[in-house]
Amino acid sequence: MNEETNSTSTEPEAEKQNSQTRILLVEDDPALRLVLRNVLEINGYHVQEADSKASAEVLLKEDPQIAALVLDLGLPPSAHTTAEGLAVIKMVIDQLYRAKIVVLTGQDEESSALAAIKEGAFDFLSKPSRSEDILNAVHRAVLFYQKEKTLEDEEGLTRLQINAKVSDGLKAVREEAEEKLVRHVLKDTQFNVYQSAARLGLKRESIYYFLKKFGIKRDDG
Amino acid sequence: MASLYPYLILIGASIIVATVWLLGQASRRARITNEMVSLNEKLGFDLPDFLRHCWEPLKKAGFKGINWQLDWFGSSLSMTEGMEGEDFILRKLEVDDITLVVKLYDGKRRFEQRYFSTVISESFFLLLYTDMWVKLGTVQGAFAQTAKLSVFLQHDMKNIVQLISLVAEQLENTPAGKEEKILNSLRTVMPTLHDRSERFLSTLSSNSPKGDRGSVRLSEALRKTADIHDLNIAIEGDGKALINEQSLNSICDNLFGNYIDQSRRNPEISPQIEISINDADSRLEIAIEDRNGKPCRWPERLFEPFWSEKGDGLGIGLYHARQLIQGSGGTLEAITPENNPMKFVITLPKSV
Repeated sequence: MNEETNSTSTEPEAEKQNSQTRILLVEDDPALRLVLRNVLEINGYHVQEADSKASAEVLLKEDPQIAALVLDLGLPPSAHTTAEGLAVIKMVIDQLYRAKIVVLTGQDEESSALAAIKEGAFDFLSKPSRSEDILNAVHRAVLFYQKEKTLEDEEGLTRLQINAKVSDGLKAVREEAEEKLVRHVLKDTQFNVYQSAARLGLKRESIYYFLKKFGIKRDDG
Repeated sequence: MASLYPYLILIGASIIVATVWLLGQASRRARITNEMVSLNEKLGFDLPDFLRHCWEPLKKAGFKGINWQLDWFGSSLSMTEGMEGEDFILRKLEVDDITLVVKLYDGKRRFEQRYFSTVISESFFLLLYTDMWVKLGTVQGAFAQTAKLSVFLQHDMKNIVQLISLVAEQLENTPAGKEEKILNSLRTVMPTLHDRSERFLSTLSSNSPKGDRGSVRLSEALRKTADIHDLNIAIEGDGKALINEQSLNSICDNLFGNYIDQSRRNPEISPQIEISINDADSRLEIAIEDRNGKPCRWPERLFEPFWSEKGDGLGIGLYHARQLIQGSGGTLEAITPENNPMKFVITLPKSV
C-alpha cells in the first residue's frame, strides 16, 4: 500500500492530474479540517468543506461530480458517537451519489469500521493516520470513482451495492436490486419516466408501478 | 357494685403500668435503631465496616450473638461475636457481586419481646441491604462515568494528535512554493489547537483555573466566547466583574456550548441570545436567554453531573460552570418556566 507513489506531495504531475478531482471533506473540527484541506490541496485536489451532515448534503447536491468524501464519523450534534457519520454514508448511498467514502475517524476502531463498511464506506482509516495513508486511500477512492464512471459512460454498466442476508433469500435481494436500479436510472434521466422505461426496456406502466411500490418521489433525488 | 371498685382500679393501674412499660421498651428499641443508623452513616455506608461494628447496639437490644459471612467482590470475610445458640434469625442477602449470610442469635422470646426483636432485626437487615446497593450504585456509576469520560477524551485527544502529526509532516516535507500557504494555515490552526488543549485539560480537571482574580469587562468576555462559537448575541448593559478571566471564559464556553448543542439538534431554529447585565449593589446580575429556545423539559437535571438530555454529551458543562461561578463567589440559577424558554441568571462580585 505504501509503495504507491501518488502520495508524494512534491510531484507536480500528481497535482496536475488531481486538479479537477473534487473531494468533500466532512469534519467538524475546524483546525483539523484546515490542515487536512492543505494536505489534499497541496496534492492538487479541489477541496470543499462541510462540518455536518446537512452541509455535506447541500454540497453534494450542488456538485454531484464530487469523487470522494473524507468523512469523520463523529459529527454534531452527537460528535462523540458514530450515528451522524453513519447517517452521512447512508445518505450518500441512498441518494445514489457515485462519490466514494473514505472514513477517517477517532471513534472506537473495531465497531465503527464494521458499521461504516456495512453502510457502504469505501475505506476506513483511524485517527491518527499519516498523510501518506490518507492520500493513498483518497487516491484509490478517486480511481474507483473514475473507473466506475467510465464503465457506466462507455459500457452502460452500473455498480449497485446491496447488503444481502443469505437467510432472507433471493426475493429480498431482487427487490433491493430492482429498487436501486430504478432509482439510479430515474436519477440519471432527471426523473423522466419515458426515458427511464426505454433505458430499462420496460413499459412506462412498469415504472409507475415501481414508483408506487418503492415510494419513490421526485425529491428523493 | 362498690365491691368491684378495687378490682377496676387494679385493672386500670395494671393497664397503665403495662402501657408505660411498653412505651419505655419501644422508645429504647427506637434509640437502638437510631444508634445503628447513625453508626452506619458514620462508617460511610461501608458494609464490611458496619458489620464489624454492629455488635454493640445489637447486644444492647438483647441479642445473644451474631455470625456473618460476607462474599465481598470475590473476597470472603466472616466474624462471630457474642454467643451462638439454637435459636437464630437467618437472612441471606445478595446483590450482584456481594453476598451476605447473617445469623442473629436470639433467646426464646415471646409476645412483645418477639415483636421488639423482629423490629430491630428487620431494621438491621434493611441497613445491610441498603449498604449493598449504595456500594453497587457507586461502583456502577463510577464505571459508567469513567467509560463516558474516556470516550470523550479519546475522541478529542485523537483529533489533537491527528492535527499535530499532519502539521509536523507538512513542516518536514514542505513542497516548494507552498511555504506561505502552510504558514498561513498555522496562524489559524495554532490558536485553535491551544484552545482545544485548554478545553481538554479543563475537562480532566474540575479545579478552578489558576491565576488571580481581576477586573474583567463582561460584555467583552461574553462577545469573545460567542464569536468562537459563531453565536449571535445581543447584550444590554455592562459592568466589570471581579473574577479570574480564564474561569469566566470557561463559564461562558459551557453556557454557550449548551445553546450550540441545542441548535445543532434543531438546525432550522438558530439561537437568538439576549443578555442583560445589571448592577445590584456589590454584585452584577447577568441574565441569559435564548428567545428562540424551547422550554426546559428537565429542570431538575440541568446541573446534574454526567447527565445529558440525549445521552450524547458528557453532561458536565453546566455543572462545571456552576462550580466555577460558586468558586468565584457568585451564583448560577436556571429559571425554567413551563411554557417559555429557560433563563440563566448569574450573579458575580463587582469589581470596585
